[in-house]
Amino acid sequence: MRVWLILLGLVSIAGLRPALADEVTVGITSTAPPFVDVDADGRLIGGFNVDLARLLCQRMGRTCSLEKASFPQLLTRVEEGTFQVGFANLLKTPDREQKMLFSVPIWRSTSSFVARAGTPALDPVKARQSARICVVRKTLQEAYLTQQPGPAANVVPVSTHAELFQGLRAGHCDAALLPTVQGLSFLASPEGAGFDYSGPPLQEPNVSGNVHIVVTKGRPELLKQINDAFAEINRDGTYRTLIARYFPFDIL
Amino acid sequence: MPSQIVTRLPSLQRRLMAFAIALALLVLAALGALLVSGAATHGAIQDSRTQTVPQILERQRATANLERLIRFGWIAATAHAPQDWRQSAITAQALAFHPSLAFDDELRRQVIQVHSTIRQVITLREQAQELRNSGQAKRADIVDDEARQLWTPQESVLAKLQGRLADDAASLIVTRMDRISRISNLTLQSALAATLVILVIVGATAWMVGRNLLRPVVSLAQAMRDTWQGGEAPALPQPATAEIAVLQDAVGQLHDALHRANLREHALRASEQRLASIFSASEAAIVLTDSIGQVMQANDAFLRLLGLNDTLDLKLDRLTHPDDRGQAAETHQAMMSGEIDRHRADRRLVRADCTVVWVDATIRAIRDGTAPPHQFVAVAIDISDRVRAEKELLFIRALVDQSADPIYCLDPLDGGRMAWANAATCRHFGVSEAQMLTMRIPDWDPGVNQEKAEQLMQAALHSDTHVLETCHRVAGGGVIPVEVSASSLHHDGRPYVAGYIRDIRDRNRMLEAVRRSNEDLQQFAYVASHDLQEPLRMVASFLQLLERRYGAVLDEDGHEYIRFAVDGAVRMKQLIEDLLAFSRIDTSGAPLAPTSLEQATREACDNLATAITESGASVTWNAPLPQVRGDGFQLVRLMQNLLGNAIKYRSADRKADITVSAVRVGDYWTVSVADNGIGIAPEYHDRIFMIFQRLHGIGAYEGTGIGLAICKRIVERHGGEIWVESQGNTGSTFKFTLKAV
Repeated sequence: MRVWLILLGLVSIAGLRPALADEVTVGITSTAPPFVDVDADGRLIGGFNVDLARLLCQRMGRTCSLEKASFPQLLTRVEEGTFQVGFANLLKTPDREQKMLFSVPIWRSTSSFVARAGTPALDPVKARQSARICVVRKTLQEAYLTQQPGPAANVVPVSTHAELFQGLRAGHCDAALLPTVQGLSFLASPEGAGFDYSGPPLQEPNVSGNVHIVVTKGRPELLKQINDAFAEINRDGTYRTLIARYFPFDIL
Repeated sequence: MPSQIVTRLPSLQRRLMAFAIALALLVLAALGALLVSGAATHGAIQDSRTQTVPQILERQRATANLERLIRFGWIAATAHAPQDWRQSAITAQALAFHPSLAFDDELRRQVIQVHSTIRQVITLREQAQELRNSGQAKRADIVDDEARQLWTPQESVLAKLQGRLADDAASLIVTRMDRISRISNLTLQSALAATLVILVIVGATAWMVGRNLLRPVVSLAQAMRDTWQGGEAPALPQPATAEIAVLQDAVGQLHDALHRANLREHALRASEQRLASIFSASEAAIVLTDSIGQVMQANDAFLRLLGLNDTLDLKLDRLTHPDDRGQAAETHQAMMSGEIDRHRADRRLVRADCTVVWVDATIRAIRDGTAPPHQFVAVAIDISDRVRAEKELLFIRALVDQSADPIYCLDPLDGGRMAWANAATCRHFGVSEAQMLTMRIPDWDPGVNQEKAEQLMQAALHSDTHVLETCHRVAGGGVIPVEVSASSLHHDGRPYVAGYIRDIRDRNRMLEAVRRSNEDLQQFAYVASHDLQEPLRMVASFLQLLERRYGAVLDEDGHEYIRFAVDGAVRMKQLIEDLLAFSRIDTSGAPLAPTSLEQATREACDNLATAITESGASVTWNAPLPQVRGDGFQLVRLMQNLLGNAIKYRSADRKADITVSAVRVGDYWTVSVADNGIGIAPEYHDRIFMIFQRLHGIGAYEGTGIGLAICKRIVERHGGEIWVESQGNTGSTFKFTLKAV
């Protein structure tokens, strides 16, 4: 009897495997608009990354399960494989390449300081010495700031961009270092009134460059499907339409 | 084709190899050009895909973003609502430093300059807003105008940048299109060159193949057809290449081989015809059967041998004698199992009329490889005569072996060694057969040494039959007199001396007794006939004296009685004389020597001259009569008795006509004395040669009846025979044989 149960289990697992293989768990950082919009219950209702994830899953013919995660959680889960795909506006670094697979670039990013309007523009190298700066944990911006001279207390790590904007408004930090386009919605919103970019974007390559979708290390075929699907939406104009829906200019 | 000629000729293989190399080089060059062209095309496409298109898209995005930057800048400089110009200013700031506007240094530099201007515009707008908030609207408007004027030139700058980007994109497209055009031209030229090369190659190939291969091969094919049709050796053109020379050589060899094959085929056909002729004309019976003995084909001799008309539904087994069928079945089984392929045996076959014929049968199995035979061929020769002869030979052999007289055979080429001896010979000498076959004449004849034995054998080899008397050392050690005959005998190309041995001890004793008896008898006859004549003369003389003295007193009967007594005495005297002559034939005869029968006949006629004359008889012969071996005096008496009888017993109604003739038969002359007399009845043909036997009364013919007995005695003394041929009243023919000289 036990043997028959084992065999039945194996057959069942074998029968379920294609369905499981077609289903993809996609992690999306619970960042601020325009990349992610959540409702009052915290459920994902839209945003550039959400729509892009759904669009790619549709083109791949896969059933995707979208899950929110903080930036650090997303990196961990993609690395361990519980997220097969991650949308977190990630730049490629050698260390990250050891842990996950990177898609073709989906848009290009720069990093800028956001601070109170009318305040002198921050010198990136000296900014940590003179101001408390909020950054999202485990981001390249945090890594950049950590490398700059200045008190450790002037680096204020937060988990999400929403917390980062909240920190600015609450005065927990004098400035924030974040992707330039990430700050557009905040600055254009009533909550962002009185804040502005502080100087031009950083010229550091570590915090500027191409943004990628990440795929867990053991799914190269999934990466290929994502690349193919992205090429397809880029070719047929769907992607530009998506960009135009959320951004005032072409971020690619 | 001599090999040196072949080696001197250029090699088609080398030509083809060189041609193939050149061809390969040309094809490779063409392919290389095509590959280069293809690679260039591919590279151009790749470049277009990886460089030109992204560059153009980059410029398109930059142009679009510049357009947005102009719009955001204009809004920032002109919008009334602060949230509008502030948001546009922020967006313009974000856009100005976006990488999409940083791929070109000049573009980046000018966009940053524009960004600085926007910052200045924002600063002025903020100042104007503060003035407006402080109720200095007019000054605020002035500041706003200043900000608007500050921004307005930047639109031209950005528009120029857009124009430059458009020019760059167009330039990229033109450059790329020019390159693609060049590559396309190169590809077209390569294709034309490759086509030209292929046409040249095809032409050269056709020319070369035609010159070096097709024409020689066509010539060879024609030559092979001629060869196939049995023509003479084909005349081939001078070969151009070594390979064609080799082919021509092969065709020549093929012609020779075909010629030989034709000869073999003719020979084979002739052989088949001969075999068919032999098969049909052979006196040996030949029959072909299938594996179960069903007759498939048989020749006429087979049908004759078995008295058959055809071979329909005929099985060999039914023709075999029932007593031989078991052995035939064993032989068939052995052949079917492959133990033997050929078997020869004497067999009995049953003819159609149920008689049995002995044959020497040879059966051969016909099989494919090691498979069981599928046919059998049998050859049968009628050996009935041989079998009969063998049986007779065995019978004779048994007779000889069982003969009481020793019979032997010596080998003169082996010093007279006993080559064969029957059982009686072994008993005669008291030795075994094996021992007998090692002995020679001196071993058993004490009077003969080896030299004399050789002489005796040579004498026997050079004469028909040589009979001699000698002595043998026989069983028990004694030496006895024997008579040995020796005849030459040739067997299997070798001479032998064969004969018999006869113990003549009894015969000698009998001969000695007979000789003594004859001597006594002759002495008695001579004495009796001589002594009997004297009393007869006294009886006759005194009877005649009695008649003369007392004739007057005797009556007629007395005279007649005296006459009867005198005649009896005279006739008795004649009888005694004849008897005396008869007895003297063997004792007083001369040795036999070459004698003229002509002379003897003439003397006989002379002696009978009176009788011949008085009777009017005619005696004739074809002279000369032959020379014979005989006693001349006795031959005269022989002829005289026969001629005298012919005259005496002549027919009353015709004169005697007597013919003497001689015919050579072998070593003897057969002499005939034919007359036309009264003849002799057949039942008396033997009796007339007996002494004192008369067929007629004493008064009918003169004589005592001893004449023919004397003739017979004389002929027998000469080793001949005498007989008479007569049917009565048609005359008689007396014939006798005498040995020729």
